[in-house]
Amino acid sequence: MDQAQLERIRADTPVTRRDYLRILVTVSAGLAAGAAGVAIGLFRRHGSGTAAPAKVADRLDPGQAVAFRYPGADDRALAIRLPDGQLVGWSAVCTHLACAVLWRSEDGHLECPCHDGVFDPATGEVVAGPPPRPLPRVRLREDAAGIWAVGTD
Amino acid sequence: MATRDPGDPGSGAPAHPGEPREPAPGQTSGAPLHPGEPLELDRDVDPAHPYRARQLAPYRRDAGLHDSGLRGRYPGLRGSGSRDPRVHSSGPGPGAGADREPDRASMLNARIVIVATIVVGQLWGLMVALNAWLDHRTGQVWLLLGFQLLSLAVAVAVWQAAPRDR
Repeated sequence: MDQAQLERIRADTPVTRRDYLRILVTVSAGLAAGAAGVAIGLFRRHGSGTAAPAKVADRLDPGQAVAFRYPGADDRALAIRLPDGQLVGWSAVCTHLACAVLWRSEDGHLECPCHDGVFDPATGEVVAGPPPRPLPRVRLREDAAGIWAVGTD
Repeated sequence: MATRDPGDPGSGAPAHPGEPREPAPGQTSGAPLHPGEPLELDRDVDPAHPYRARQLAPYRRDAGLHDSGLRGRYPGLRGSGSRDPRVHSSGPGPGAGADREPDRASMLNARIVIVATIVVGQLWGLMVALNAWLDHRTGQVWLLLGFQLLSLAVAVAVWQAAPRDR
């Protein structure tokens, strides 16, 4: 079928207002289906889920951080020993557009370099920038064998 | 539209020098081709003017083609043209192209606007639901799912609420 025939077919079958109405109703059904997918958990959340405890590091000194993946292979996370000795773990996926969040030890905060999002390393809350939500927490456990990621909130 | 050669048909004067005079008004211009054929139906060849095509009746589909040699559906076959007596004129009739049912058309426009508004609301609701889900507010997600389903039901109702669609 050549181009001229295709153009004739298109000219003979214009989209009518009733077609627009039908298309709109179809889009409405698609949006409702999407909402159902969200409600039943069809889409993954970064930094969420369960997995077996995973060893993160043997030890961390104050101001040090280590990157790891937990609970899934695509879930980047950070374990940080804050200068006051507190051990915290956060998902390293920015809640804005899923860029990697970096630990800035010289500034003492977590930073997403894509859009200058800044998070508080002690609480995970957004300090500056466009991220809409705090970072998901990764629960850590420290024992004689090392530091372990044991779950997510 | 049919065209005529120069000359006044009523006067019977020839259109061109040397032609025979046309028949007087009221005089039929030839016998029926077939038995039972009405006299007013034109024939392809006028016996009074065998050397030129005659003017065809305006209801004939080939009325404008009498000089082109493309008369009828099958040119060359006498009497094979489209002689549907129900066809009085070609082209759209009076009022064609105009909106004959403005109230029905405005109702359709209103339904489109309503459903489009519903879809915009659903887009907003889906965005809020995604944010709530990412924020672990599961109850709000289920509420928004109910909103989406209700919106869909209203959209379907508005879509179907028509007198009778073609």
